[in-house]
Amino acid sequence: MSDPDGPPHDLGRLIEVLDRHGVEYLMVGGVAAIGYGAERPTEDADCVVRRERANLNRLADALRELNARLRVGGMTDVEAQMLPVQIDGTTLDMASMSTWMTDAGPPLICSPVWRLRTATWCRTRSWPGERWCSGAMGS
Amino acid sequence: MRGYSEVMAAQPVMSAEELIERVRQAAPPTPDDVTILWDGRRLDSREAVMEWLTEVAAKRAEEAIGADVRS
Repeated sequence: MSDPDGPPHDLGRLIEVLDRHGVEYLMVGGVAAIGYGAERPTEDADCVVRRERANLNRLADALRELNARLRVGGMTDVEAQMLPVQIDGTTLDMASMSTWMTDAGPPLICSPVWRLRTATWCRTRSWPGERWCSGAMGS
Repeated sequence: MRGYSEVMAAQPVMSAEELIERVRQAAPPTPDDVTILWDGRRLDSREAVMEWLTEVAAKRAEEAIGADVRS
């Protein structure tokens, strides 16, 4: 199901849209590890998002702007676009880890957590467009 | 090659612009990169997705009724 002809990964656009919609999130996983110096490949952008309905609604707004499509095993991206998926806070709240294809390229994997703990495990920097951490704990 | 454990205590080593460029030509996703539900089900087929969407619609309707009752 890999799509080598898909759009290049535009992580900058992903972050810009999430930030502009005021989504509370942290980039984790491979992207964060690379930012901290790990030499490892990644094929997606993992983020944890605060599992609070208003925040999930903001995430839904951002996903709709990115023309997000659910990524489904056994289906092409074109086929998945035809699914009657309504992207809203309810939909996002009912998956522990939702995987979306977007016009910005890489699959965006969103994991809702009750709380973003930023003291020890996560380091974020506040300048616009940068938000990653070396680990995230949710509860 | 440095793994997760070695970098956990480190500071970011590149700017956001450098990171974005590094990720730009990343590998395509693998077939197992799919949505996973709270009960562990994986949305790895059209049938699984349609079943889940029915549950989402029911939850949405339940929330709408709850909102009406509160208002």
